Amino acid sequence: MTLLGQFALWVAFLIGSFGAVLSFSGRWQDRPDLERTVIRSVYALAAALLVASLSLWKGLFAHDFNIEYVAAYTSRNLPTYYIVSAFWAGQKGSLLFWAVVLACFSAVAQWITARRYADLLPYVAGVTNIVVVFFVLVMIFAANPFERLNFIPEDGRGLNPQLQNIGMVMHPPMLYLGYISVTIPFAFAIAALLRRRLDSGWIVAIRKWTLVSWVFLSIGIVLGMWWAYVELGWGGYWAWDPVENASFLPWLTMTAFLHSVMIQEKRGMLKRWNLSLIVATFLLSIFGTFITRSGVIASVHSFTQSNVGYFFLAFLLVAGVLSFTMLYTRWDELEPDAKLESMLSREAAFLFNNLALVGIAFSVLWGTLFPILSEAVRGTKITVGPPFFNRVNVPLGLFLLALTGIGPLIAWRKASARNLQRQFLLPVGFGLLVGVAVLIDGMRDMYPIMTIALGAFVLGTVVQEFYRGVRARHRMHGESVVPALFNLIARNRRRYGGYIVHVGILLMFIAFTGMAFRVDQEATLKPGESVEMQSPYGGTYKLTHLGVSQYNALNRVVSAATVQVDYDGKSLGVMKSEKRQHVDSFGRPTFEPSTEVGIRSGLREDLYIVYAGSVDGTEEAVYRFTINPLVWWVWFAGMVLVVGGILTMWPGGGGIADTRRTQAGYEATLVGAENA
Amino acid sequence: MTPTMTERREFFRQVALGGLALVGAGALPGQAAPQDAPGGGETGRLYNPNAVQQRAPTVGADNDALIMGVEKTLKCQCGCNLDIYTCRTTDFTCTTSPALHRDIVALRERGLTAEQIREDFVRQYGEQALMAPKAEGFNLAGYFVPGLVMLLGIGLLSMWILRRQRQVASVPSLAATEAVNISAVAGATPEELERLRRALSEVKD
Repeated sequence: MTLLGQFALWVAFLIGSFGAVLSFSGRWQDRPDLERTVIRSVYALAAALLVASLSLWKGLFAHDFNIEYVAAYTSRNLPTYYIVSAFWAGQKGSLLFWAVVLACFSAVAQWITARRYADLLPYVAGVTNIVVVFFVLVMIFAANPFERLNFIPEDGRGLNPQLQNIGMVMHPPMLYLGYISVTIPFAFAIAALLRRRLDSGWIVAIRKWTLVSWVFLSIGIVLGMWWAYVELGWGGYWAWDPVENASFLPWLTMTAFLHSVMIQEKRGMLKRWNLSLIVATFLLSIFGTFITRSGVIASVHSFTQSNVGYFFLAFLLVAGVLSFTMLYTRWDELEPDAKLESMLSREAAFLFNNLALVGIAFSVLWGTLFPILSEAVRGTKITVGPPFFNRVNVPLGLFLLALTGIGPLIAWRKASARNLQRQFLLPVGFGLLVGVAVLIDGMRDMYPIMTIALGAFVLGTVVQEFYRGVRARHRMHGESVVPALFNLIARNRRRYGGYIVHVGILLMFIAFTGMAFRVDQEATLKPGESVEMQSPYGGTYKLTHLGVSQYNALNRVVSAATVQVDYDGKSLGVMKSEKRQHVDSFGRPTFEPSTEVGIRSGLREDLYIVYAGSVDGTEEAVYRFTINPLVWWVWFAGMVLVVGGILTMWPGGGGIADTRRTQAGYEATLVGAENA
Repeated sequence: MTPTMTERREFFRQVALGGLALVGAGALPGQAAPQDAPGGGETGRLYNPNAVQQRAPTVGADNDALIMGVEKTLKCQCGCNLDIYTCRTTDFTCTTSPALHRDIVALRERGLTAEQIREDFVRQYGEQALMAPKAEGFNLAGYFVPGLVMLLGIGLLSMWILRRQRQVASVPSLAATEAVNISAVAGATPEELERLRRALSEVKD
């Protein structure tokens, strides 16, 4: 099968290159047969890479340990679902995964894009083909997943224990899907520039794709946080690691784009800015790949250091220079259709929102690269870790949170004093009330207080919008609350889906504040011994070590330490944390013992138990106990965020045509209503 | 030697060996001892001690808030990119972070403050021992450039919007023109216009 896989890679390389050259030669214009050939090259490329992928999966499932990748990431006793995920567990497999998914996305884009954008599609094919060919080239020349060893090991090394978690089965593909699918909007943007079709049409063609990317990236990031929390055992979910930052950067610019694109749709403004954001998002997704795979910046969870990173750096530079040069040469053709009229307008609020998002992206990028800059300028190595990022980004994040509430409330074009009063009075009052309440409750940390108060303000704005919408439907159609709410969302999914996303964001901000009240304690306990811990809410946990049990599982020896948990004298049950010594099919240890955390998750706080090890090989266990407030809300907020995103991109329910009609109504001022 | 004597000797030999075995079991703690019942208070040996990391018992300094705080600001030197506290309480395979922890405990016992411990680490391992660079010299750029860029952005954006606002204010209102046209074309009554105005204010977007 490796021969077939190798062959498929070469076929993909040739077909993709041919399609790209034909596309950019422009010879297909007025030649429908050649145009069809360009489009078909996309389908053929996807087919070739599917064959290559199936070949690798065949090797993984057949335990063909002569293939270096199979031997490095699987073993005979690896559970089946982890054999599936081994496909993207390593550098080489993940490159193939990236290429095949992008090829499939490109084929789907060609298949479903409306015919009115047919003149863009050959260029779109050219761009996506180039990106796919780049990945295929990297595989062929630097990281071939079909590379064979000159011997056949009895068994493979197995999958890293930390990757043997359901979160790691889902997190990388979701993140990749987010990274990869952003190539489609980028391809449409470049096609629009090449074709000089610089109206807002291409925006409509890519809006759904951008939302798809955003939703996948959001799911990928939240799943990554969840995996880090439940699997790595450090009790946190975000460490401002360069690889985490790399996934956050395109998310920020894409979020900025999803806001500013509304201004282009409604008012024909910000064309240059939107094109820049899409190009930047694509480049940042490649930058993330470069960071993960080059080893140029130390990271706790990057792939092994290799020369693959240089390929990505070169690609990043070439793609950046070409894209921005093209944008520059079309600059004059990207004149806005309308002008911004007032500082007190939704357009201005969205611009400030964009500034905040891009500013945070810059800040994260700056912090990620600052160690390199420092070493270049001063010759001194420094570390830029969580204390730095928290100090720099928390104020920016709070600014963004405030704008999350302000933006949707201000009228388009120009807000009057009456409009501002009508829209802001209740939410601002609610935010202040909550802020004062937490102060009276005894909270004294400035950032958590500000976060909670601003979160209440944003929640107030969203509730107010829903309330007014439901009330309007009730008045106009006589609907009761539930049908009115349902119809309100169903008929304007984009707007109300967006509000739900805002709720997800504010919940996440508030949940993050819980980490400021985290409590840690280490203890060494013999069976029957207890330790007590104070919860930040005032109660007392009593944690009693029951003992350690050992047993063999499919590919590991498990040592399970059990703890009886009582809270203020009331039993909460037994929790366990494990040590897992993974073994191959011959019973030989493959990795160092790994930790499985015990977590008791609640609305107020999580009790997080880590069995660190044993004293002198006895049942006397060393534990780390952690109380993490509000972590459950991070996952809930993530789900709300994703539900809102899916609702926003769901077909129908208030597309561009509806938006245009609404716009026409707002551009008019009725006779006798000028001063209203 | 009669068969009875042989049997008696064999009996005593067995008893003696059995007794020695019992004494030996008591003298060698944990060896082949049965697993204790949960909560029994005795500590039995693990069936497979190699399947878990061997750890030293926790001491009071491990939970010292000052030491934990200092460790969260100092980087482990094993190459993991984590702070010392997180590294030593997470992976448990690292041998560097427990050693650094012992160093910190020793420095603390010598009466050093948190800041002095950090300075000692910087002397030993260089500036990269700190999880965040000191806010001095070139590092100030790291801390302040994002904020300054943001402030600059806010300033420039505000100026740009205000300039546009002035430009728009200087030309006749498109809305006013349209308003005349609409009233002329639609021929709506004042009541109808008022209803429309109310409806628009309800469904404002």
